Amino acid sequence: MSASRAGPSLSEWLRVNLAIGTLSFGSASRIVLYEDAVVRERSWLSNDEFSEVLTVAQLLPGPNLVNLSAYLGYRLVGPVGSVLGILCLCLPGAVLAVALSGVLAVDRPWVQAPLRGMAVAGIVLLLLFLWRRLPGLGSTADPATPASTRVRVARGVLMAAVAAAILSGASLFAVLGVAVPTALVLEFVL
Amino acid sequence: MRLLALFWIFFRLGLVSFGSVFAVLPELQRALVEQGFITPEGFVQAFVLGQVVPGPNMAMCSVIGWHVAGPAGAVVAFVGIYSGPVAIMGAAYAVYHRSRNVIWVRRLELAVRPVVLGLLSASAASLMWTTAGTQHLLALAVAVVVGVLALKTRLGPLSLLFAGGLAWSAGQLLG
Repeated sequence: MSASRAGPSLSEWLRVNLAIGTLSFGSASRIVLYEDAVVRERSWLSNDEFSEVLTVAQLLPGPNLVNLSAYLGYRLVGPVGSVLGILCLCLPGAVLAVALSGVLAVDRPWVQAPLRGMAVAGIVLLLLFLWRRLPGLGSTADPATPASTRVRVARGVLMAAVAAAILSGASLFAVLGVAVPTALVLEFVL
Repeated sequence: MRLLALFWIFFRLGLVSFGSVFAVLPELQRALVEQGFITPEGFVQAFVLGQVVPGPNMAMCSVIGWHVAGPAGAVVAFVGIYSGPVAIMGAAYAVYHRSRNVIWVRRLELAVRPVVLGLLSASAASLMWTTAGTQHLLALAVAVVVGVLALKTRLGPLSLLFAGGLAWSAGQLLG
């Protein structure tokens, strides 16, 4: 808690979440919005603590954005504030999406065509996100040392095996049951 | 019972949705279609609606819930998908904040990275398959157009989504 000033009030925290929940598009850029709000503009947290919280958010299950907001909420304004913050972050988009699904006559052909095109575009965005994350397979816990070729290849093979198993119809829980222990052995034993 | 079954699908997948709901799309689609809650086409439409609105991409879950059981379904899906991760983060904060160990957390995150990226690749491929239907060439062409626009222009994600919509409509009119 070295450089950080006093934390936000509840209403300040909710306003940050509401702003990100109503005005933000595209997943990766939204992490930066929290960094701006929490570290750069208001110094509620130090830079180091923010990146530590982000790593915890990425490690645990759940959308990174929601995990980040939940952890920051617990840290800055307590459990009730955290849950209210999540509602401010998630409800606007959910309500808007439900409203749109009610308005659009999705079974008409002239609505179907653009929707399909948008789905393909969404998949391309997902692929580009994946592509940007791929170099991360070459990192180690120490930012100065890259991983050895052997580790990179092993991680790549694990990634491909997980994808292939899911696509061949294996149950997600079975795949995770094998892949997560394998990943841990790979990182901590080999 | 129907609401309970719906809640269970979202809750249990929320517990393993590493990175985002995108990691569990194939399993989510299979579970929902198997129990007759939604068609594959409806699933793709919910995916699109979840993408065009601001905030986390989990918004698609509320759309599916609404489609299955109206307002109650939307609430059940919303609570189902978010409650697990939010509770886990609460537990993580309670345990971790007292005895922080950055290196340990970093190594764990590195360890699960290949698994998360593998899940996302499978989701992209499986969703592409569902979306394309019988129009494989058109789907591929639209993907190339959007990919080129994304890499060569500074269009934001929302503009790219609409560009994809336009490209598919144009392709359908021409072909």
